[in-house]
Amino acid sequence: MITAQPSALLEASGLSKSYGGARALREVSFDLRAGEIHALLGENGAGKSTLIKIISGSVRPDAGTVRLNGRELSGLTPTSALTEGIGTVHQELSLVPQLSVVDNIHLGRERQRPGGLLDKASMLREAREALDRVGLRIDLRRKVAGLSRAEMQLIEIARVLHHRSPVLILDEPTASLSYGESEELFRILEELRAEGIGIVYISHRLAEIRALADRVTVLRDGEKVDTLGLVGVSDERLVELMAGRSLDKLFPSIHTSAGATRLRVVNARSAALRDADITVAAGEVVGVAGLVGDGKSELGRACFGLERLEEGYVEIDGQRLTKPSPRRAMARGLIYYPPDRKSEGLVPTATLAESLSLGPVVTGVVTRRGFLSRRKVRSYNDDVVQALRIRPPNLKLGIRWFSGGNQQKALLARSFASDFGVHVFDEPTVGIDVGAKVDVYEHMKRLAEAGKAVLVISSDTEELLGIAQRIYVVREGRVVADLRGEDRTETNVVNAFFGTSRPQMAVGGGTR
Amino acid sequence: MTVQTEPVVSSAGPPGTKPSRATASLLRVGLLPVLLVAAIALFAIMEPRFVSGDNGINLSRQLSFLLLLAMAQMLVLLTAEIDMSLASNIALTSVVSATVMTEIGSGAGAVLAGVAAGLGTGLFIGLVNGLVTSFFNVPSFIVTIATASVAFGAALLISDGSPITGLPESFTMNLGYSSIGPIPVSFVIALAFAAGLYVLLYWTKLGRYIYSVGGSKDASRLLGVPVTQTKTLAFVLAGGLAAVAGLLLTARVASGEPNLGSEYLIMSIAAAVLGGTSFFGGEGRLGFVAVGALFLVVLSNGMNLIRVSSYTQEIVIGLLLILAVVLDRWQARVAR
Repeated sequence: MITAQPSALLEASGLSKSYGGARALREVSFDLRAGEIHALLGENGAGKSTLIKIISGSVRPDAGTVRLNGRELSGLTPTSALTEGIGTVHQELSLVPQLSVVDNIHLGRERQRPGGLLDKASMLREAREALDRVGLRIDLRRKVAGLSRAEMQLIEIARVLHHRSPVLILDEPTASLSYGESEELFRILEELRAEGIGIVYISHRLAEIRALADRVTVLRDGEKVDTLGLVGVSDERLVELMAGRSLDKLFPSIHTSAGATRLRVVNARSAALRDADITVAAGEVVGVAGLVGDGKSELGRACFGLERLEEGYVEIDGQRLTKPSPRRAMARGLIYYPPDRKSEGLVPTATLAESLSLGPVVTGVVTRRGFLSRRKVRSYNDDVVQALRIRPPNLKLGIRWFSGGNQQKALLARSFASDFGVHVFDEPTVGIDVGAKVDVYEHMKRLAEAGKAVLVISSDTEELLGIAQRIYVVREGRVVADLRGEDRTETNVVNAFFGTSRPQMAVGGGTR
Repeated sequence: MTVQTEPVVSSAGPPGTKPSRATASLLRVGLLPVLLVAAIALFAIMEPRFVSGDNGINLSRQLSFLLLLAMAQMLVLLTAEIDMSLASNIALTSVVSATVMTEIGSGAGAVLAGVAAGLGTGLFIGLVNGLVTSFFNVPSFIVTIATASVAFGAALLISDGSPITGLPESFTMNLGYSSIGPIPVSFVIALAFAAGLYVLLYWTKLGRYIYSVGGSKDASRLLGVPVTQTKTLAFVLAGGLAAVAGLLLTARVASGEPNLGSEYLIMSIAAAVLGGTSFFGGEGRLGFVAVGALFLVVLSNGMNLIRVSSYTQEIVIGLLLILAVVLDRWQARVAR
C-alpha cells in the first residue's frame, strides 16, 4: 500500500548489490515523500550504507531502479545525483579545511562574471542565504579549519540545500555532535521538513528516530524487514525488528564493589582541562559525560600522555606517572582505547591477525628476545577472536573489510596484551551495531569483575546510565559533578552539562 | 542467538570474496611475472647470448647490486618514507672506503678498515636521514635529497672528482670477481642479506613495527610502538644495505668513484614499487620486490645485448616507474 503512493518523491525499487560474493543488499524497495523524515534503521552491515550509496550515486546497483518524481535516474554519479536533487551529507564530512566557509559552499560551482573572474559579491550573498536556512551565523570568510564539528555539519547541509535539493540524505549526523548541537540540528530538520523537503535519516539512536521521523524502514542482513509509521510502535519492537534482541539485554548488570583506588587524575590542567580531578577504584565502571569540546575526551587522553598537562599529574596504582607517554602508561598498567578506529585505533593496512597481535608483540607476550613466536601469536589470536566473538573469524582478511563493530572489537583486543589494571575507553560504541555493543559491554563487565578499574568516556548518556556505577560530568574543562546511585539520572547529567541546577558535588576553585 | 545479529560480512563466505590485502597486492603483482616472462622470451629470441651461462653469471651479479638497493628502498617505503640518498650513499661509501684502503696500503688490515669505514659511512647517512626525519617530523623526501647533496659533495671533495685507484687486490678480487662455483660472491652476499631481511621483516618485533608504523603512525603509537625509533632504524638499515652495495660496486670497478651508482636511485624505487611496495606505507612483500629487481635487471641486461642505447633505457625505466606508481594509486583506491 505504502509503495503505491503516487506522491512518492523518491522511489527505489528492487535494489540489489553484491560485493564479490558478499550480498550487501537484496531487492530492497524504499520510498520517500515530500515533507517527511524517513529513518533508516539497521545494524552495521544491514545494508543502510549501501542503499544510501546507490541513491546518492556513489555505488552502482546490480539490479533495481531509482526514480525521482517518477522519472528514472540511470547511471547516477555523486555529481549527477546532486544536480538531479539528491543531496547527501556523509558521516565523513567533505569540507576543505583550508578554504573559507563561502568557498566551501560554492566549491565546484563557483559564480563567475563574464571574463572568468569570480563574482564574490553574489557568492557571499548566496552563502549567507544558505547558512540562514540552517540558522548558522558565522563569518563567511573564516577558514573551515577552526570550526566545530556541528558547525561543519550545518555548512554541509547548507551546501546541499544550496543546490535546491528536494531530497536530503543524512548519514548518522549526530554521531559526533553534543546533546545541545543535536537538539539544534533536529529543530532545523523539522523546519526543512515543513518546507517540503524529503529527508532520509540514518541513525543508531532510537530516541532520535522516535523524536524526529515520520516513518522508519528497518533493514537486516541486506533485506528490508518492514517500513512502518512510528506511532504506536515500541522501542522494543524496533530493536526486535532490527536485531532480534530485546533492549533490556543491552546493558549487563555489573555487581562489583569498589576496591582500592587504581587511577587518579589530580588537578589536571591543560589547554582543555581546568583542575580536573577524578578517581577510579578497582572493580568500578566510571563514566565521564560532557558536551563535545568540554574536555571529557582530553581527560582520557591525559591519562595516556596524549594531552600535555601544564599542571597536575596522573597516578596509577598509587604511583605517579612521570613524563606521560603511551609506552610509559602501558608499562604502569594503563591502556587507552581511542575513539576513532580509522585514524588512531587500527592500522588500516593490517590483516585481522596483525591487528590483534600488534599489542602483545609490543608488550612481549608473544615474542622471545625480539623474535615472534608463531605458536604464541596463533593461540593468542584464536583466544581473542573467541573471547570477543569477532566475525568473520578470518585472520587473514584485511581489517578494513570488517564491519565497524568487529573493527571495534579488534581495537579492544589490546586488553589482552598485558595485565592492565586500568582501562580507559573513549567513545567505545560509536557507529557500531547493537550486537557488537552488547559484546563491548560484556567485555567491560569482565574487566570490572576481574578487579580492573574501568573509565568510560561517552557522548551517549543512555550508555553511561546503563553501565557506569558513577558518572563524572565535565564542563568547560572542570569536573562539575560526580553522580552516584539514585542521582544518576538523565536530568541530572543534562543539568550538569549546562550548569542549570546545583549539581551533587560542586567543584569550586579554578580561575579562568 | 548471536547468529541473527551478525553483519553481512560474516556471510561473505570463503576468504578472498572480498579483496584481502594479499589479493589486492597480487592483483598488481600479477602483472609482473607476465612482464618478466615476456621480457625473457623476447630477449632469448632476439639475442641467443641472452640465455648463455656467461650471461646468467652477469645477470646474477647485476641483480646483487639492485636487490640490495631495492630492499633498502623497500624498508624505508614500508614506513611511509622515502630515501632519495641511496645513490649518493653508494658514491660516498665508495670514495671513503677506497681512501681508507689506499691510505693504509695493502693487506687484510687495509681491507677490513676500508670495509668498516664504508659500512660506517652508509649507516651514518642512514642515521642522519632517520633522526632528522622522525625526530623533527619533516618530509623524508626533502631530508634525503639534502643528505644526498651533502654526501655527493663530500664524495667529490674527498676524491677531488676523480677515481681513487690502487685498491688492494684482495678486496677487488674477493668481492668483485671471485665466485663460489659459478655463482658470484656478490650474489651470495646479496642473497644472505635478503635472507636476513626476510627474517627481520617477518619473524621479529622490529619487522612488525616497520609495517605497522607505515600503515598508521598514530595507531601504532597508541599501542606503544616506538614510532621514531622504528623509522630511524629503517633508514639506518637502508643506509647499511646501500653501503654493502657500494662496497661490492667499488670492488667490481676496482676504484673509489664519486660517480658510482647514480642510476640506482630510480632503479631502487622502480623495483620496490613494481614489486608491490606502496608509497603510502605498510604494504609490500620482500619476495615480490626481489622479482621486481630481477625484472629490471633482465630488462637492462637484455636491452644492452640487443643494443638499445642507454638513453633509450633511461626513458623505459622512467615510463615503467610511472606505470608502477599509477598502479599503486589505483590499487590504494580499490582497496579503500
